[in-house]
Amino acid sequence: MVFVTAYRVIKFALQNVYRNIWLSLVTITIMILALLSVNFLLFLNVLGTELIVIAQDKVNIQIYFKTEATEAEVHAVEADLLEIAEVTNVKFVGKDEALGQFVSKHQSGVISRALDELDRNPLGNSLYVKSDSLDAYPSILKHIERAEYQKLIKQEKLIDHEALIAKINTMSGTAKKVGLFVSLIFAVIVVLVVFNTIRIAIYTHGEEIGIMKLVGASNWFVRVPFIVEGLVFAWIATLIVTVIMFPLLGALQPYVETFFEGSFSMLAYYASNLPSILMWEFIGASLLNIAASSIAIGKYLKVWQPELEKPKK
Amino acid sequence: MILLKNVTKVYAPSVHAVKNITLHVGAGEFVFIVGQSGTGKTTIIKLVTAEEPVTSGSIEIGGWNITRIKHREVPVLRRQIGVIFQDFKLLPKKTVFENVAFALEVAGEPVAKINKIVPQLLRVVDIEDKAHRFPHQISGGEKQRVAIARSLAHKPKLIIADEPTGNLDSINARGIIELLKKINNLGTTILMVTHDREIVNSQKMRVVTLDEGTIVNDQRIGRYIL
Repeated sequence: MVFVTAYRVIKFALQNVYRNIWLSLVTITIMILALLSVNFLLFLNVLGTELIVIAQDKVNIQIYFKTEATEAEVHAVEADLLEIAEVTNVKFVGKDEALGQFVSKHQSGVISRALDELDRNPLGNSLYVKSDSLDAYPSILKHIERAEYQKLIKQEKLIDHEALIAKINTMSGTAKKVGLFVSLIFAVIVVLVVFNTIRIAIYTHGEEIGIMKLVGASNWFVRVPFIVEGLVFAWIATLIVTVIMFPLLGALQPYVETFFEGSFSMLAYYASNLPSILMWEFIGASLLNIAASSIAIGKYLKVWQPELEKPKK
Repeated sequence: MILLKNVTKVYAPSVHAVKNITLHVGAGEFVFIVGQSGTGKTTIIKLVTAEEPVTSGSIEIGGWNITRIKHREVPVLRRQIGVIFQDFKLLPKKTVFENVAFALEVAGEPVAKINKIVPQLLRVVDIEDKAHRFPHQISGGEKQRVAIARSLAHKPKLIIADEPTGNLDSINARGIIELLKKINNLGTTILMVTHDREIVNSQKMRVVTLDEGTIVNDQRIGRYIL
């Protein structure tokens, strides 16, 4: 009995889909547009996050030591900095290596000639400090500003970085807040559009639902085919969106690759996250369909309930 | 078969559609309910099919007091009464066969039984050759035959017909009446609401006349007297 009923509701749902083909196509199209919007939003967020990660990666504290500071003193500072939990890496660049880099960068011109006039290396040793958290840089800077280090370090370099870190931190925070706000507005619009599309689709079945009730169909028997129909719409829309996304991302890939200098691929990101994206899109679209169908059908399923309206004695 | 005892139906705010009606329809009877528009004919149909609750009084169908019918019992009641409407009320996206089968499917009848009964019903109403057509592909008279076949699906003891000939020409209307009489002769009680004076006068059946929500005439072999 259960299997027969299940078979029937699925059969009715599929019949509804192809016998109301135009209505089905319109509903699926709206869902496709909604899901594409969600994907667009997802990639905007992913790109934003990736940008911040790259920006964070480029931030470091460059400590330029005075020429008098010995390598041993600099290595002592390096060891001390590595003790800080937030510090992920400290790179030592010796004064000779720094001079080599400087010379290769300025092979001709006034600077190169001025260097030749000097009989000694004017550059000191330096350290490049990296942290996995932007928030940690101010405290690392504070640590470096300790009195025993001040006699070794050219402090003006540190102040510049502090400003940059603060700026990136502010930008990253603002970007997250704006992203969340835009996402919420977008999500509300998508939900409303899909919800109303389903409601209109059910509205066209209003009389049909009444007839089903009159020939003795239970509420469940009327409701379930519409819910199954909604799941079919959600599944078809999700699959079509997936098929659209691959060539779309493929077309955008060269621009993204140029922008990120090959360090990030949207296509690869989409492919590697496809199962979870597919699953969440299907779950979201299905839940939206079920909610919209249930509410819309409920309006047409109203039958007399003696518990609510008892006859007068 | 049907017993309405002191039934009153008031629609908000204070429209008295039916006023203190008492009516008994015996098993196997064919009863016409006549009256001008707005006299409460359709309201009686809605009360008997539990589409509307009574305001006061009680209704029994085949000994079942449906005045206090439970919400979940309404589909069960409707599967035991065959209902025919003026506008046919066929499911537009289902074929003739599927429309009749639907009444059995909602009751969970097995496929084999449906495949056996539905062609028989379509043969009874003489429309088996159009079993795979959709409602928009058949005439009004044929639609009403499909509706009758559907109403017979559960072998009901009672058929309620609300203006079944209202949208049909006289030839088709006579055909439908003949079909209903044939069904009545097999023992099914028929309660038919109509405006059609000619049909009522030609049948020599019981006629209940309504006026302003009350029964003003109830004749064993009656005529349309309004």
